[in-house]
Amino acid sequence: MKRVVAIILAGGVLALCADDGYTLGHGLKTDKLPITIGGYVTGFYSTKSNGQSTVSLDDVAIMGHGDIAPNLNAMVEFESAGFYEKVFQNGTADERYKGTLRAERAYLTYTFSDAVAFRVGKFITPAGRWNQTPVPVFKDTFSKPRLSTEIFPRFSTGAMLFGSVPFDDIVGEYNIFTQIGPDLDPVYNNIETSGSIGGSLGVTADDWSGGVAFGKFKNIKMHDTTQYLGLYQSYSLERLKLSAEAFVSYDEYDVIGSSDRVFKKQSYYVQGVYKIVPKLFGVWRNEYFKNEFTNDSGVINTVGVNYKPHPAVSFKLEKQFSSQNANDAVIASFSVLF
Amino acid sequence: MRNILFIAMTVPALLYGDIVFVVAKTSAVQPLSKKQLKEIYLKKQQYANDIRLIPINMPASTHVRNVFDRSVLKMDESEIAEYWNERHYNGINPPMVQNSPEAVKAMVKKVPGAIGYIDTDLLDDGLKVIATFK
Repeated sequence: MKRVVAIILAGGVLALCADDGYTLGHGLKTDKLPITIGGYVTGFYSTKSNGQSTVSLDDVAIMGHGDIAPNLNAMVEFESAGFYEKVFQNGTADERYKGTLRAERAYLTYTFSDAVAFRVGKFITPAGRWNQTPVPVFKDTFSKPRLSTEIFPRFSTGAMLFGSVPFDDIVGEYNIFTQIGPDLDPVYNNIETSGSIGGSLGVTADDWSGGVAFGKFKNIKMHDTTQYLGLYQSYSLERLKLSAEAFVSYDEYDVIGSSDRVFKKQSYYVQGVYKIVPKLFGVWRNEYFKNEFTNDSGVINTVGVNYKPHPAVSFKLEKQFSSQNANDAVIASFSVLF
Repeated sequence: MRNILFIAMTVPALLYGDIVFVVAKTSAVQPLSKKQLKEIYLKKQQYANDIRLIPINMPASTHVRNVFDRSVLKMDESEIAEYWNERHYNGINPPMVQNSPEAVKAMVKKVPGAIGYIDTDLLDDGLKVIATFK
């Protein structure tokens, strides 16, 4: 808690030093330091059909970034996930508090040209679209599609080569990354790995984008090696934005004496977001998942609304209909980027 | 009422000339397309002719900025704000803003790679035009 207060106070001091004013969502920039300070906060209330209700101040994150030398950019982000949580079930309430900030991202990027940039540190794994901006304020639902949390590690610690090349009306993009050794801070990573390699190839035009992502990693806790492959696409059509991702992975377990060592996971989602009136969006998502190892499969349909009174503020209300009936849920949430 | 609206919308446009994108006269940056300028001002493209570019914006309240947002970026205020929110999350800041055309011209002349836009009437000998828009 002391650390959080100290960081907020430091932000206040920087605010007093800011020369260019402050815009909500764009961070605080001061000419006295080559960095921009920002962050985000997320809270939600959910109630499930199994009788469990949760109220949570979920994410409290502080980030800083800036050009610290010619062509050299630094980025750090510290987050406390599950900052405060109270779970109600069967007439009892369980209260939890985690004030510790953990390193979510910490990297340096050296840009040689638009076509070649090199990044080292802990960064977001370049797999699919959802995972590239996983903060609720950028999304139209608070709930995440399962493929974004179960197929590949959300973060990687290592090195990445990336860039973009224009071709007439489209831009081609690539990423190649590797992780050798442990995660810089594995606490908030969905999958703890001891090594990985992967990449993605994508194309972006004015109103559509798409690509393919691939990779291989060692899962420390599950003692398996996973290979994954995914496709992603999005289209913008006037008021409607459509997006879809589909991933498949093969987990090879180190099980001595077992003949069935390779298990398949597959998942996809299709999402449509419609601008009903300015600042108000309706959303529908259909997703499917199947995990051979846990013998778990199902379909989830999510419908909801996203009200954005300001581009950096989002209030959402959504209802999830799961083929696993006990997992139906209603979620009300807010998120702010600062 | 319609006549008043028509006059209110057209008179400002008649009062201003074309908008020109400028670099220093000695700069190696060559003429750029509207699409390239959009990519540069969204900081998706950072280089042209092997020179690292520094795009300079005018304040959101100015006529030239409104024309720029509408005809080059083709984005409204809310879309621009959302775009830079996401870029902020990815560690990239919007282009710097200079408060006057004189400040834009001074920066373009002094800083290698700087690129700005001004009203065509404000051109002078120290500048090179790389694109023109109405």
